[in-house]
Amino acid sequence: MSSTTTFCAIELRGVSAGYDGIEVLHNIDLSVPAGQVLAVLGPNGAGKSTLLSVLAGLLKPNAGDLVLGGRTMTGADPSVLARKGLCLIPEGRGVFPNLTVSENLWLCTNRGSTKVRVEERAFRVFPRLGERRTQLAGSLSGGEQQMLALSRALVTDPAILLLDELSMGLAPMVVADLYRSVGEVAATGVTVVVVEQFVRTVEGIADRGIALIGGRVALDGPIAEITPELHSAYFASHKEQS
Amino acid sequence: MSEFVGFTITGLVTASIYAIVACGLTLTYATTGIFNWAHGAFAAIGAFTYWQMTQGWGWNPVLALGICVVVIGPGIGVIVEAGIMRRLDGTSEITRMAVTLALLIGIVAGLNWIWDPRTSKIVKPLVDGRAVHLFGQRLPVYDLIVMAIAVVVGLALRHLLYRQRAGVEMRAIVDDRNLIILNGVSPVRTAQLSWGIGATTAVLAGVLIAPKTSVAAASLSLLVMNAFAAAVVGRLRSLPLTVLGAVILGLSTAYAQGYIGSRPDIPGSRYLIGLVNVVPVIVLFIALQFLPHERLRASKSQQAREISTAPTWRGVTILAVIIVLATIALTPLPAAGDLHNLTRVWGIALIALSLVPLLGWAGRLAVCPFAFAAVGAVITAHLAPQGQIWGLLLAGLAAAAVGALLSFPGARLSPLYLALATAAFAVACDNWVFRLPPFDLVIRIPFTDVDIYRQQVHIFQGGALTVHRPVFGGIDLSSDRAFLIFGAVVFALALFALTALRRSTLGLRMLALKDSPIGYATVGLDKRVTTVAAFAISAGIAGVGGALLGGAIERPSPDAFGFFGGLSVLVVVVIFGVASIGSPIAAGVFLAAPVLANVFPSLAQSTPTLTALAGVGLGNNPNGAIASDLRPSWSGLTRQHALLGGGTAVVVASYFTTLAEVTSNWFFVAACIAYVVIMPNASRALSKRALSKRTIADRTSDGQQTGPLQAEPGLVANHGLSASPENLALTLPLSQKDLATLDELLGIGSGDGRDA
Repeated sequence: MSSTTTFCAIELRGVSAGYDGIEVLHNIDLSVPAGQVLAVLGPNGAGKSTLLSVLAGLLKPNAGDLVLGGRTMTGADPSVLARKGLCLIPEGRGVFPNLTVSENLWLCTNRGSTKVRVEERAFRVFPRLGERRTQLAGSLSGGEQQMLALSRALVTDPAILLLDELSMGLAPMVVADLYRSVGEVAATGVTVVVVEQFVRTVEGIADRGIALIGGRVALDGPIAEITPELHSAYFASHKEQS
Repeated sequence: MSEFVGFTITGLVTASIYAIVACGLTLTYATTGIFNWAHGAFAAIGAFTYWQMTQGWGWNPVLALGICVVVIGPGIGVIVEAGIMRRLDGTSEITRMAVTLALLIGIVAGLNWIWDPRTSKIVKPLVDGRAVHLFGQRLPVYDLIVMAIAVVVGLALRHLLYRQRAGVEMRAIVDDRNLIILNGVSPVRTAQLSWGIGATTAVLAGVLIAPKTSVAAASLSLLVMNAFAAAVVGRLRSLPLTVLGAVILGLSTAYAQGYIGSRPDIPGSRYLIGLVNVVPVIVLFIALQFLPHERLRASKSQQAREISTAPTWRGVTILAVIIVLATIALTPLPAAGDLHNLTRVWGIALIALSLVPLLGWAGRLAVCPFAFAAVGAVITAHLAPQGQIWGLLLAGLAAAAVGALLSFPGARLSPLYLALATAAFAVACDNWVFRLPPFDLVIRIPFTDVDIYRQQVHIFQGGALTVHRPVFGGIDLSSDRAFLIFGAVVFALALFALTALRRSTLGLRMLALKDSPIGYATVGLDKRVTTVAAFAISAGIAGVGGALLGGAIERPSPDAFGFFGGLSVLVVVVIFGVASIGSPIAAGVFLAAPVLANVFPSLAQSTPTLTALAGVGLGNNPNGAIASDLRPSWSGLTRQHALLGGGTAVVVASYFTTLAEVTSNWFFVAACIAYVVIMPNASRALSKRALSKRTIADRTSDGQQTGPLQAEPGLVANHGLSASPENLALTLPLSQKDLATLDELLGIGSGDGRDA
């Protein structure tokens, strides 16, 4: 899908990565044009979260290169990538449970914004957070915690947004609300990579999808085109495993 | 009234110093998740360097204070963070505790090495002699300055933690280290800031407290540890509550000192004078029991880097036989004085062994093994005065009962709070209970004057117990040689007992409790039962160890069972592996046989220093030296009979030449050291050479295999590969056949389409 004339926000060139000597991703080549919303799909253990960890700099590849905005960033410190405009909302609840809502948002001022401005923007999108600004994040409901996590993406003006299973453990209506906010972010031209296990969750916002099977890209194409093939791809991988 | 005001002012001054210490401790814990047992030692560094600058070099006190606060404090924090604490990520609470205890021991040893502890060091207050009068009481200006500094420090720390982004980052990092990185924050810089500020508060407190006490490393460290009670009142996270705790602590200490300590006329004062010294630990114990406890953040479930393997019957039998035979063989060699010192080995080893089930298996952090040991020694001395063998049994039972009693208030505490509670118990025993004057123990029929039992008890018999060595089946064990061998036999029997325990249902329950307290509860098991059992077993073993140690010393004083001694044992056991039944042997040998100090008296601090150096490195190797280094490096030797036999023969030969006085003891010691160092390395080198030879011989020049290489018997099963899976491609490139076989074994097809 990536065009040679389109500026690539993210490129992975022959990336292999894993943990403690066990390789999870094998020789991945991937280009994500600027402004595209890419859905990374796949069954459990396919390497989706590992892929995001590599993109965010949390995991250094064993081989290959990570190129962001045309610059090779392999091995760069994740805090440096964050300050340069890469925002990862990790799997689970990406909040600090022992800090208040307000203090959580304060930590989003790393790109020059002020505490007041950050709160203003977050509470405009998620008014419920404003009502709970002095409450500990750990005492919020799952959906509210995920709103708080997503606020980081809204207030830091990232160039690249990485979302890892935003829908996990949440009611469908809450998920729909959250993805509506993601869609608004994407509409401003932000490159978004969203990891989900189920295609239905992201088919409304993703331009393109890839299916990771066994650490390799098994399918790549417009989300509508690859959706019918996902079943057979998942099934084949299951058959191989068993 | 004026007396009360005076005591109150004194108490508030003390509270100010405690508040500074406790706030720093709380800040470090809340922002790093590490409870710094060496906080008091940092304060001692501050006091010593301040003394050196002002008294030793005659510098201006204000300049010296400035250097301490601006250079020494932050410097300590940054060095400690970079050199030690950074490696503790993912380690258990036990490892973290052992590392900071090792740091405490090391700093105390280092200070005693640099500044002769026999020389008295007096520090003059910053402002000398001047005073104001308040409510009719004379209040030194220095005390006012101390209180003002405490207020400023408390407010500044609170402002930092809650009103500054850096402070919020410091708190956030404990919640989720990865997430704070994703917010663009450097965790290294944040951790260094936390440690720098924490250490600076400790150094400042050390400088402020120095004029009020003698500057001595161990006592200053322990004095500052009193402030732990204040930090616990603040639940290790609330600075205002911490300050309140410091005020309670300071006032209770001052009132106790004023109304009890200096009043010999009140009834029972001779029993209560010692109590005054332990008021802080009593406050700590009460705070632990009665304050509502939140779940400690550092104790949350995490992927631990520690593993625990069960000892085998074969392994423990071999170990027991070696222990007894080696002890019998070695006893003729040392000089009489050295042999007498060595008799302590198995007593200390048994006390160390008591930590294995409690800390290593059940994960209960107790730091009072020497207190249980002292109970054993006291019971033996009082109830088996002629050295009756059953005195050991009674020692074990009595200590087990004390351990079980202690476990009741301790069962509900989190690991860190339990460690603090047991530390409080140990210090209270050390400074008060074991030093009580004689008292009458009376059992009387209620509502009558009829005594069923009356006995005068003097716990440590006026300063030193008389512990007779046992007589067993007509065999007199009073000689050093016989007693040492007897100790080895008792230790070997204890190894068998612990192996049985580890392999029993109770042993599994202990491990389950350590691995996942939540999982343990959800399968319907009672945490209290296992905790009580673990405490009782551990204390019982320590009690027997204490009886043996008492017998070795023969006239032990309470100092022989001091709190600091127990910490050294604990640290050495953790260094070698707290879950390994072999580690106590190392503790016994290392702590009871100070070889270096014998040869070079100036190296008297070598044992604690080496302990500390090894201990602070635990972050790199949390499983301990036995599991991570010794066992893997020696296991290969058991299959290399020629090398093992040859090396052992050399050591045996050197033993006999030494026994025949052809060579000196040092020759035998050198042979043993060479054996320990050379054998594992030689084994590794031989294995590598053999593997390399075989791999080359079994390959043809075009990389094709002539036939599958047979696995070395008992070493690997190669499943048709040209080498064991872990050695494939180490010496030669992978052949196509290896790749195909690997694919087949892994069930991932024939390898076609591979682009590598």
